[in-house]
Amino acid sequence: MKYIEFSVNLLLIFPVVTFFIISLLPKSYEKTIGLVSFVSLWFAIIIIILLLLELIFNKVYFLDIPELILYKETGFEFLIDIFIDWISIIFLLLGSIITLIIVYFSKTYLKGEEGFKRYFLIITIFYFSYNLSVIAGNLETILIGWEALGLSSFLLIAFYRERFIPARNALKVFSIYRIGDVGLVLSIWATHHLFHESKKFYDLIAMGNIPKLDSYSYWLLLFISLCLLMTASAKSAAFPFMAWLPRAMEGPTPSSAIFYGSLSIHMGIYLLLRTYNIWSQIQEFKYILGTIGILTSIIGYQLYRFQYSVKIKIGYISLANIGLIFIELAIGWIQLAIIHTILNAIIRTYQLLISPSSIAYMIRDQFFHFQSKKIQTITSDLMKKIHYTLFHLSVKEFYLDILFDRYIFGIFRKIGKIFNFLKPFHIFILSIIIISFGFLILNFNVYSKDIIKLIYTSILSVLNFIFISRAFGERNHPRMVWYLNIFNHIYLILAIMVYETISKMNIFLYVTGVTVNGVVGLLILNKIKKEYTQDFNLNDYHGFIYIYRWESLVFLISALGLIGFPISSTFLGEDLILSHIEPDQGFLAISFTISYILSGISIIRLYCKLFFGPFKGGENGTTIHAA
Amino acid sequence: MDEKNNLLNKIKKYIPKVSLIKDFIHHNPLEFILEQEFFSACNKVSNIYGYKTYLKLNEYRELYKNGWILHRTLEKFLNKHPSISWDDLLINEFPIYYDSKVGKFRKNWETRYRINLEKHIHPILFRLVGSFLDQGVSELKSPGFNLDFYSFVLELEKYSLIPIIRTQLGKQFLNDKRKDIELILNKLVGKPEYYEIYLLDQQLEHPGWSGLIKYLDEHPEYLFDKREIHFEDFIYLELVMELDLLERRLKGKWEPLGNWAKPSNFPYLNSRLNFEKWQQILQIWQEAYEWSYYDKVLVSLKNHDSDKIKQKLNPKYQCIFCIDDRESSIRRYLESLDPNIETFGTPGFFQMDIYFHPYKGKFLTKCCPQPIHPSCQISEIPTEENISNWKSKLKYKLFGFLKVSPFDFMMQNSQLIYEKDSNIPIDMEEVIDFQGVKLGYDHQEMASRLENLFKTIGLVNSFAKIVYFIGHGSSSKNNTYYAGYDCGACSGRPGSVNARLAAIIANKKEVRELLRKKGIDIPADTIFIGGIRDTSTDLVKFYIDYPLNSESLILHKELERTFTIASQKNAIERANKFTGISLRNLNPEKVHNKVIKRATKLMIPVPEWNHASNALCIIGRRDINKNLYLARRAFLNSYDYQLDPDGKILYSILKAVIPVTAGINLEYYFSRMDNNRMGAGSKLSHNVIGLLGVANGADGDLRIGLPYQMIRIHEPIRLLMIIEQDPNVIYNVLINDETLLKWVQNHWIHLVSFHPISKEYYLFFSGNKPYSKYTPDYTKIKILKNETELFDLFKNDREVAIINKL
Repeated sequence: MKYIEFSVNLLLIFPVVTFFIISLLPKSYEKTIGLVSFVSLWFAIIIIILLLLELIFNKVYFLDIPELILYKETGFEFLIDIFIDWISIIFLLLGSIITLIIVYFSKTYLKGEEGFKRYFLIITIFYFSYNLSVIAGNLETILIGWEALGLSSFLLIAFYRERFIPARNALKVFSIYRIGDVGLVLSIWATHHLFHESKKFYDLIAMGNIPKLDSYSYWLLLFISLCLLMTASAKSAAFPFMAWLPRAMEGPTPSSAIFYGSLSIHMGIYLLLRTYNIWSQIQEFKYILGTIGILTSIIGYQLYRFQYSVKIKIGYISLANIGLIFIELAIGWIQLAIIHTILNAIIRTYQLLISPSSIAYMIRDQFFHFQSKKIQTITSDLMKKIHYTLFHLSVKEFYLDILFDRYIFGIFRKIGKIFNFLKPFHIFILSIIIISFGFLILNFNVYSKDIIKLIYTSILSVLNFIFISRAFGERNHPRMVWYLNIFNHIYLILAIMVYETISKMNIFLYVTGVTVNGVVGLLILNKIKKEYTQDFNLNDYHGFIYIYRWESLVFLISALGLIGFPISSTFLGEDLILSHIEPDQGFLAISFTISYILSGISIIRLYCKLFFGPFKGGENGTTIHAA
Repeated sequence: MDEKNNLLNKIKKYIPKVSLIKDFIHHNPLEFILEQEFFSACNKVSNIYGYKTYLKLNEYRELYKNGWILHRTLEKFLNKHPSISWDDLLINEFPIYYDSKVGKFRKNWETRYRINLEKHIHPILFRLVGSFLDQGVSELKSPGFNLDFYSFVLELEKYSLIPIIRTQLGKQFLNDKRKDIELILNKLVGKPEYYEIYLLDQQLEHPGWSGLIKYLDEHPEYLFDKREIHFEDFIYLELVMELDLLERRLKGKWEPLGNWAKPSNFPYLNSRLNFEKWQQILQIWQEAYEWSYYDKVLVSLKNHDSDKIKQKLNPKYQCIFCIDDRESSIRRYLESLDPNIETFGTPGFFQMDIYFHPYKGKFLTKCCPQPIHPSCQISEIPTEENISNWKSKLKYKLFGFLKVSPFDFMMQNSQLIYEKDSNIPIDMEEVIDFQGVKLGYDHQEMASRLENLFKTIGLVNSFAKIVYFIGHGSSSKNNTYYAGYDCGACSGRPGSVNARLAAIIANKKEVRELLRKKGIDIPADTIFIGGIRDTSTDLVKFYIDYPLNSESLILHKELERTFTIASQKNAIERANKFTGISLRNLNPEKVHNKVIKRATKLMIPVPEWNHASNALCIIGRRDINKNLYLARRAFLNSYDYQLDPDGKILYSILKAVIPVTAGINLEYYFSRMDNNRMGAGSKLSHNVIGLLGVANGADGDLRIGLPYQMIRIHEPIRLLMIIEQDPNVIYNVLINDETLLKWVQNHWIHLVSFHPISKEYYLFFSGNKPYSKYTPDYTKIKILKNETELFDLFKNDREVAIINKL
């Protein structure tokens, strides 16, 4: 058994070691870089096979390994936990084999490409986070893997960051992923309240059906399931999140294959499989899941039929299949769903990898077998209407892109615009007042009456909402976005401190995370502003990465820290804070959700707009947006 | 109406030429400004469009430091510019800045009204055009594909429940029968003097789609699945969409652009512009860079002892290759392996202007240069029952579809129908008059084509026992630019059919009879064999349609062996550039096998380097450059000045060779200089769009030019054309053709005459005189003594050497 634990750990250690070896190698050592990734993947596959054999010989079908406790206090425990069963083994094998193929392909395909090393680093991050998500034993661990997956996805879409469209699309995909992530965060929160502890998947399986569901837990369970479904749909580009998929096909072809053809896009299905015990008892949820599956399938297929570009076409047919897999899950055909996933992943990888040759073989085929199709004479007006409408809907992508851009994010942008009159000065003054008032409440009993608390937290929530919308809509002052996000964190912690006693350690963790990252980011922003005052705005993509290489990396890390990415204590803090929100404090939960999404997007947008895109000026020449 | 056409024509000139990717043709990206001097044109497009037309300053300095730009050459060009000092060249930093003026005027919409027109209109517009033009990627054709594009849009607007155009004003313009661009521009821009600028701003935001639509408007015949689309309709639709978006977003509260914004003194291409100092400096560097190499070539060429070679006569074999630079190295190896082999170069369609109709093909394929319109077709029919071979069929079904091989262009056992009144088997009668093009040549036509061919290459007597015509093609897999790797003289197809056809025709007794009357005497025992060489795998295949007697069979077998060894050596030379390491100690056969495998691997974005680093074109007898190592940088066209005292033959050569070679050269040049704007960027992220072209991702514009992978090792210098002929004859040829004159006079290529008798160089249009004597300024000449030294040269394309006896 010890040995099993060791080999499971190796699966996580290998990518980390590979990552460090590659990052230490100089850029020009392309062959070595490729070889290192290749060899480490082979090792991983061997380990997985050995693991499988050991499990079979020991007749262990489920295995839970508590890995390490990141944080513990009464009633809350943040545990990295590992859980292995046959589903994880299958997904591990699938992921490793496909990554191996992609690495083997890419090490020749990307030879001489600017960013060769970066590509392999990102693939390694991806592989690590994939493994972590697949062997995760609880939702918290999945969340870590999940966020890292999103990050690697974001970085690969913006692989050609000197162009405008990849930079924009990376941001777009990140926004959708962020919505998905919040689902996971909320479901963790709700699970805490349902079970009063962090439930492991192992316990869930061991428990069998959750006994005695009163109506409260039933609704909470439904809420958890819906949150999970949102996460799964966002990652798998299911309805209504479909519009990001075509936009993600910006990186080199093999990266599109691994992410949007095969692995990343099937992670939603994996999440649903993993949490099967949670949602399988709720009939309503199954109907919803089925409906989403049907919608995804139909719309994906419709988009596929009229799609004229090869990669996007493959993406859409992959989606149509994912819709079907959702339906299979809803019915309860787990095995079929898994087989379907494997086949879909492998076929789409293959199709994407050979997609450049389509032009040759299709033209050849056409040359010898062309039949000019008879012009369909649709006489019925109604049929014509349906035909043209379907076509037009495909052209407009069923308005799904616009749905998010205009009706979800657009609303916040508009709200932000209303508060454009708030200048940094106002914000500082307001914040100082609010913070000092918070201290009063916290330190003097006179003020800590329920009604005052209620009013105070309401004001905080409203202000928080305003600030974060303002940050979201801000276009001219990058530093403003940064400030507002820092305040956002402070407000959040104040709001909770008013209600509950949180240990000093807790606050310390959170505040250090925010301050360190905040200050580092601010220093870099100041530096850029000093040298490029003219271009220091968010109206365009500025491509400063070409001037500030190191700074951009440091800024990315501090930005990730500030948005609660699992590399900084902010992440832990954010989860802690969340665990202190009670289910009946609805407005706090909503406020948290919105600020989680919007702050993430606004900060990453800040990063994208400053560092990505074409750098204007210098000897690099110009670019046009549409290229 | 006239004015509208005038406006459109003005715009059209500036829209790049984008052909379908299946017929990839190299062309000069700056063709529209050919009438201006090269550097002035470069600087102008750089100032107006923001194109980068030079290397980076540091790249030049690096080249200088490593000795590839010679000090003396640099000094020579520096002296022409008194305002620039050595410090400027070598040390000083300049605020080098590229900025596009196109697009600035239209950008005012965004600055004032905060509406990003591109963001909202491009995706929908591209998708409409893409779905409409799609050649077979999508499962369903777009409804209304049989109509023309604009009617399709109108139908869509009429029947779709979701409108394209939402506002009343937009609808009114959309349904306007006149489709008057001026009218809608009046609404959008207001001032007629800004119309042109506005349209240019708009169209050059998506040069790829505009270029393709312009091309398809002019040549709809190149689409397999026919579509009707007009450039003006496309512009009109885009204008209507813009109008609609503005009207919808601003609810009618907006003013025409021209009323409140002014294009900041828009510079026209024909106006005088002030150039920056750094542009002059880069120009000096570029010239010095070019001439550092040219001088080396010219000196070596002159000192290379051609008279010694001339003594041997009566070669056993004569091989006629394509002019292509990739064939230059295999010719070198063949000659050095067997002194009995004489080689020639000529455009790879071997003067056979044909449409090829493969067996069961549904279309005709043009197998000659793009501008020529062939008058007849050559058909292929099977000789035996080789079609129903289930094994090969299965293999094709499973894997074969990935491979694009020139060998597969014709079937294994097939026969060409090339004569006007051939006896055609009854069941094959469909091949006659297929698509209305007549079948085959008559004897006169055959003879005249061969006469042309033999006279241009200077092969009129002393025919060898076996004469080979060797076309070329290129195998590759997973390669969207596959057509760009095949023979350019065959419209981006392999030259197999042409080579085979030329051999068959030349073997005909009747044709030889006719040729004899024209002064070309082919001995009765001479036979012709066609063949094709694969430039990416270095394999060769011969088509033997004529029974060989035992003597010639032995000769042929011997040549095949020589060819194998030459191919292996050639493979080693090429492999050096793939790997960057010297392969001298490896077994040649193994290296060749690796090269063969490499060419058709799925994960190889560069199956071969193609024309990368091309720089020279030598028109003259092979003897003058036979023992010269020029890497693989030279287009070699055989030409005998003795047969052509009045320059008639030279004219027929130059007419084809200058546009083709200079087109290739300049496309590589500019794609290398600015891979973002004039090239296609990295091909790794390319997405095939409707079998029409490639774009990045989903919403990108079609890419033009060459991808980064193709030009990665290219040395961007202009073409130096060396002609072995009296400068006076050349001059007389040039002044009679305005287009040719433009290329040379405006220095889009450099032209040097190598006087056959005095062995002096004459440079054209360098000073006031049309041509003047030129003495290359370079003294070091590399003379190789053994093969090992040759290996050292492979690393760098800038090397030139004389290989006397290897």
